[in-house]
Amino acid sequence: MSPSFHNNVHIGYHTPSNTQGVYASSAYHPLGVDNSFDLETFLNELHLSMVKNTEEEIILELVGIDAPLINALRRILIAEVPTMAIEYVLISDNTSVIHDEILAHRLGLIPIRADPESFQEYHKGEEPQPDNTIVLKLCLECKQNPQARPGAEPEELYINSNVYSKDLVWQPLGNQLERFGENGIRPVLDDILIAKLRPNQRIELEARCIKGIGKEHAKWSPVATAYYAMLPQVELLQEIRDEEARRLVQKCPMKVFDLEDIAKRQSCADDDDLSDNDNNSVVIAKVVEPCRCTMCRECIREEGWDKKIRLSKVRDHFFFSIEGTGAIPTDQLFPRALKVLRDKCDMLLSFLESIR
Amino acid sequence: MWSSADVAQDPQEEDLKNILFQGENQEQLRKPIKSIADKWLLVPAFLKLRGLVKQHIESFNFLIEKELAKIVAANEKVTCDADQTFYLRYLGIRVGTPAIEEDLVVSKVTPQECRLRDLTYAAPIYVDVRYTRGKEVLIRKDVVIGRIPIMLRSSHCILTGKNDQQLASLGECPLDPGGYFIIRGTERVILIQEQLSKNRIIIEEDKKGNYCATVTSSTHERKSRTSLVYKSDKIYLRHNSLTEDIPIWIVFKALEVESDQEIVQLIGSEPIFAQALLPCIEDCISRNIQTRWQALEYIGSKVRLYRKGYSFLRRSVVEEAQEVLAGVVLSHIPTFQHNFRNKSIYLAFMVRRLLTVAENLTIVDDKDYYGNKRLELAGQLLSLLFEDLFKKFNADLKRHADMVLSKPNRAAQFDIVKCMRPDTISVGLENAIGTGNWTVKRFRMHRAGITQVLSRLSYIAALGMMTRVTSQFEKTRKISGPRSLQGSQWGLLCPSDTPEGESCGLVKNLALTAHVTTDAEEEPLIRLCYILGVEDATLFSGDELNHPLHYRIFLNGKLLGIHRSAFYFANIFRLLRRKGAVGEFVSIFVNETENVVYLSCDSGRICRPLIIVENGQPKVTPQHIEALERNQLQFSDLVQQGLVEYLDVNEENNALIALSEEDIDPSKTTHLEISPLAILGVCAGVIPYPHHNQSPRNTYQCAMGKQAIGYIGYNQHLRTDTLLYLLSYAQKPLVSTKTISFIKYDELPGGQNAIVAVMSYSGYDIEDALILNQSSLDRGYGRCCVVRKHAVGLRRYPNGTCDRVCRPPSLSEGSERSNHKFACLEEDGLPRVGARISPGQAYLYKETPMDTMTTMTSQQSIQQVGYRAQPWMYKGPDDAVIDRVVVTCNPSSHALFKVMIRETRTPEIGDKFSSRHGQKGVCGLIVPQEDMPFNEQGICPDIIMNPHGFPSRMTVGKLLELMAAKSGVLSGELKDGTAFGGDPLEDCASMLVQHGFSYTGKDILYSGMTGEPLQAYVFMGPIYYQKLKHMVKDKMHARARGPRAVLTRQPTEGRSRDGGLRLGEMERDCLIGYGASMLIMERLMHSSDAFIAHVCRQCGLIVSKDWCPTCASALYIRPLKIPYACKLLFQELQSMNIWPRIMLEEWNSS
Repeated sequence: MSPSFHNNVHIGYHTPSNTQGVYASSAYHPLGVDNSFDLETFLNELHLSMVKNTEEEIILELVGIDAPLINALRRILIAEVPTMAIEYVLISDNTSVIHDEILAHRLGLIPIRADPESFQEYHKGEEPQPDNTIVLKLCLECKQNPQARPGAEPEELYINSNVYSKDLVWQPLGNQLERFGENGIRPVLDDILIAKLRPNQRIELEARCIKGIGKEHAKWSPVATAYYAMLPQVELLQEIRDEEARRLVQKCPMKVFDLEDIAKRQSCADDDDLSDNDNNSVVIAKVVEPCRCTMCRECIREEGWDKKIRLSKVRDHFFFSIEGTGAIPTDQLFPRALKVLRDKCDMLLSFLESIR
Repeated sequence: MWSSADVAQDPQEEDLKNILFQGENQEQLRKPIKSIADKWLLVPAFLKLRGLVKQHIESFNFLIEKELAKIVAANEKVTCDADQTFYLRYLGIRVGTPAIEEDLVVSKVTPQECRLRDLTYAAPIYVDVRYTRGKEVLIRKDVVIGRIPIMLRSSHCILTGKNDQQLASLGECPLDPGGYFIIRGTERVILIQEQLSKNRIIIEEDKKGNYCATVTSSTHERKSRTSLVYKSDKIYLRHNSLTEDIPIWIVFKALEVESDQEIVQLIGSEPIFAQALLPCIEDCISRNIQTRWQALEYIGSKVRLYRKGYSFLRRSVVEEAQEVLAGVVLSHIPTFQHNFRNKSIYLAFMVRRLLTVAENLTIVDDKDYYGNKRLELAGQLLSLLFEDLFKKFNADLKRHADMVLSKPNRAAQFDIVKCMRPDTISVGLENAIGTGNWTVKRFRMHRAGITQVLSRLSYIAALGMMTRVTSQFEKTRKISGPRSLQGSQWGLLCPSDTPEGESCGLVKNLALTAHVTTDAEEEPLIRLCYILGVEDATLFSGDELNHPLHYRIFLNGKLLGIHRSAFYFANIFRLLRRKGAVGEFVSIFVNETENVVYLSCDSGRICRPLIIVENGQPKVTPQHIEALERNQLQFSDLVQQGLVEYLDVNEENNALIALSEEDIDPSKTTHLEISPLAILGVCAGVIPYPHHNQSPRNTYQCAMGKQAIGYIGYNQHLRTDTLLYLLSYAQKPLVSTKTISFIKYDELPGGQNAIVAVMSYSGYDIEDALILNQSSLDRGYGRCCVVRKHAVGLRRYPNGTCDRVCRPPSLSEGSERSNHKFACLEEDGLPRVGARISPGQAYLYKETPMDTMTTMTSQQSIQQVGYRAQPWMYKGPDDAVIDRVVVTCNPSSHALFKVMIRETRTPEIGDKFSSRHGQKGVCGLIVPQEDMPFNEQGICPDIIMNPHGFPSRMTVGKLLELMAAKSGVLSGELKDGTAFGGDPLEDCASMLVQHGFSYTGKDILYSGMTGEPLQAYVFMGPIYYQKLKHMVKDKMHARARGPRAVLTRQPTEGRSRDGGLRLGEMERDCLIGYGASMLIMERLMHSSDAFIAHVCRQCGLIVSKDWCPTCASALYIRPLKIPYACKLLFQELQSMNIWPRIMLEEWNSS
């Protein structure tokens, strides 16, 4: 499927154009074209593949989907997929330099690895129950280290000078231990610094995690961020050869272009090979890695170059990145977002049903 | 001079030594001028040596170490009229270490203890005295005559010489600059006062347009102002102690210059002068005054007499005139045994200068020229005050001695030391600094606002206050001269840092490397001058004095003599200064138009260090800079070796200072600037790329940086200020400046780096409003703590009873409501640290005795006293947390409780933010992250700023900051935006390109709401934003019903009293114009102070409801609804015998 020019977002040097798609079903009605959303064609044209899958980030490639739809998924990921996060902190002792409120705020932002599906929503004023609350405890006191060399770093001079997220200890409520197993619930990362202590300073607190969504507070967002970028497209409108071509290759920081010797029909990897070539050869620039293009517009910065190179973005081809916090395994994030979306659709349908 | 001789084995250092010792290596000097890449490093070296508030501390040290002794020496003897044999003589004076006496126990105090306990950080002043007791002569040492508040970090402060760890253990912030006083727990700064210099001739135009030469003479005893006025072609002497202007010729005759020829010669026998003097001579002759005696008689008759007390010492008219001429007129020129030669020469010179202006040879002096200004610092101001108090102290002693010794028979021998009351001096100094009211009786000086409370809003605010210079000009007058920036202020005063509004240009700030001098000894200088060929002026005749090749030599405004080759003298003098033979702050200035050499070693001159250039070569070389960096060399070494010297404003006129090495002209240039960044002060130094901004924007930022919330010191959690604003996660700016690192703003920053997108969003960003990202706020952006002090003292009453803090009654029993009221309190009546407190809850439970008047007879009855509950309620807008409770007592041993209550705030709509470029704005909308635009890296902005903020403000520096910060973030380094330097835009932009961003700094952004790319590229990147102290929570206010003032029954005024919102005159005018009469009626009466008054229809007076005493009838009384204030006015008028009558008519409905 080669995307037509009209379907692309044009990237000019000073301003982008044709940024908005046309989604209204009646948009082309006078032309006799039905623009309404058709599930079947959508399913036929939709392609989904995974570009990257690590603990922290997943990149999906989606083709044949509109910006509004993929944006809905992005918004849901940020704001509406529930997770567990610390909401209530009962502080019994805090003699550190960090104020209670700030300490509680810091604790809240620590991602907790726990499956929110296994928990109910907690309502304010309720007694904490095993099915809606996770309790974590933190109890630490800083002491002078008798073995420390004088003048050493504070980490050596004192014991427990740094309070890390690993010091949060899960206190299973009710049958939680059976349900989640030993070490089933814990902070995602062990080395998040919560506070610093000095001898005789002490923190003792109980933190309660409840289920929530990112709309309420960013701490419940399962992603650090979720975003997408449209597929970049780089086209050479005319042949760029010799010195200009070399300049172009050098200009592009992302190495989108490369040189091709049309005399020998032999592509050269980089400048070193180039110098070996005899001067008679004719080189032309060629787009080799359009996907790398970040649309920095460096290649069309100089006067007149926008006549030679056309940069554009393919409107229905996305790279969708999900950077998870780890509260929910990253590979589960996209399905969960879809589920939230489906639930919302169901709700809308049933609502429409009810008013009919 | 070369201090680290012990490490000189290193061959590299041998090299260095050669250069330092000036191997007179001509070859080296002939090399082309290389630029000294890092010569700006001299600035931190200078600051290390002198500190940021060096001027205050040095001035105070000078007072303590030198000036006090001088003052005591000048007033060393106390005698007694009653007993001629009695005397008390001060032998010496010393200041101890800061201490406090409590219950007769003297203990040392630390500044932090003083802050916490509301004490004064002061040290005792000890004197040694010799005095007579009866027939004995005794010597007593270490007698305390008072306590003097000690400036922090001065030589007598316990903090000097302590390292960071010791300072921390004393509860002190190592970065705190010192230079202020602690008076009864509050930190107060003595602001630098700017004045016209004393003892200098200034030619100006007076109000009538006459030229006059004015000298303000100032000595320890007297301040007086002498002017010569040139009016109707004649010259007169004008002085306060003379009832009218005296023709100058008569004055000369009175000053023992009787021959007209001699007078003309003294002034100058050039035809132009002689011609101009003719009317003066004629005037004198017409008054028939030829001899000195006649002249003195004439002057004596014009002397103003206001010494009433000395009527018995009545002197003759001639004596009176002599006295005035000797001691009052031009009092800074000393006269010995009525030898007036010095004075007549000086006066002649004044006439000469006046005539040069009158004859259009030169122009009048510029009063705003900074060489004519002197800065008065804490030391000088305190010395004025101390001398006055010391005189009063001695006068008290004398009066006491007179009183006791005049009595014929006394019970015990009179011991004056026992009568020394230290309170005079202690209280005098403490009150003056504590209130800022300076009263010096000798000079009849009353000045208010000399001291101010040190602002601890942010670190910058405190530093900025220490460098502030205020001037004595009236703020209300619309004068532009003293307010405008003067060319001579270059490098000395910050061109940006001045407030807006009435004190614009009158309040200034010192530049980074400015230094204010302290007094230096005159004696050695005078001796040196005579050695260098200065000849005593009194030995010369008038013609010789005015010889065009002879230069008069003035030292601090006093004529020393003349020199035959002034330039040779000046050069030798400068050479000696560079060799260290003369004090480094002594200045010499050759004035070629006046044929005068001015030497100055007085205090209050403002000067700055410059690199010396000789033969086109700057004497500081890259090797020196390296040595500085390696700490092998100090700034003082450079001064001692004559590589760097201090120039004051006047001497700058004899120098040609190159801005950079390229500007050096080998034949002319004498000096080289250290760094152009040093022309800015502390506050302006924080701005990145200020040289790209429109100048008022930098001025606005200077004012706003002081309101930014941030870290105020490493000891901020120990402080008990009335109001503390603390940012939770302050960051050092991504685009830093050199000044920022000098002043350590990067350690105690006042803002956060926010990702800013310059675009429009919604409609809530008009008029500079900002859009904030909800998730950024959730993650801690702009979060701050507001800590407020609630101090409660316990009083002791005359009858022996006192207040008490105790267990609230309802902790166990009592209603639920009162339990809630005291929920934060513990058993002892004090709040629990960490407890959450809501408005209406008590933070302290205090009880006062019911009866405070009747004296109790026995111990038992004191216990029987009933107590009345007096709980202290928290009246905040919102829930807060008890932060700390300080329980202590003040010096009069009254218990003192300080409850610090803390509130944590996240930014909300209406909170004020600003960048470092004078661009402030309030938050207009908080948008959830998913609605925010994002770029292809997934970055979404913390702040969206409307682009309309740029074109009219022209803050290009902000654009540059964004570019630099963005490239810095991508390359992982801090960028430099120092004034007149900084990382160039091209570098930053190409760095962006390297990382795949646009050269322009503009990104493709996707709309968070539609998901499609925005129709424009958006300029996005990090900008350092400050959260300002103005937050809606402290300001928002509305009321429907509420309290009313007792007198007028109108709603109260102001937010603090829950007042109403006033419909003022202008609003009323609008309503009148519109014709909405019923609305006016509603707003001004019904909703305000409606009152049913009863008016008697017959007499028209306001009467009671059922009886008119005037008409003795109740028949005609009618109710009338009028504003209470109106009724009050009528009654007040009645009390003044004005009878306003309200005439009523029967209302006829038809």
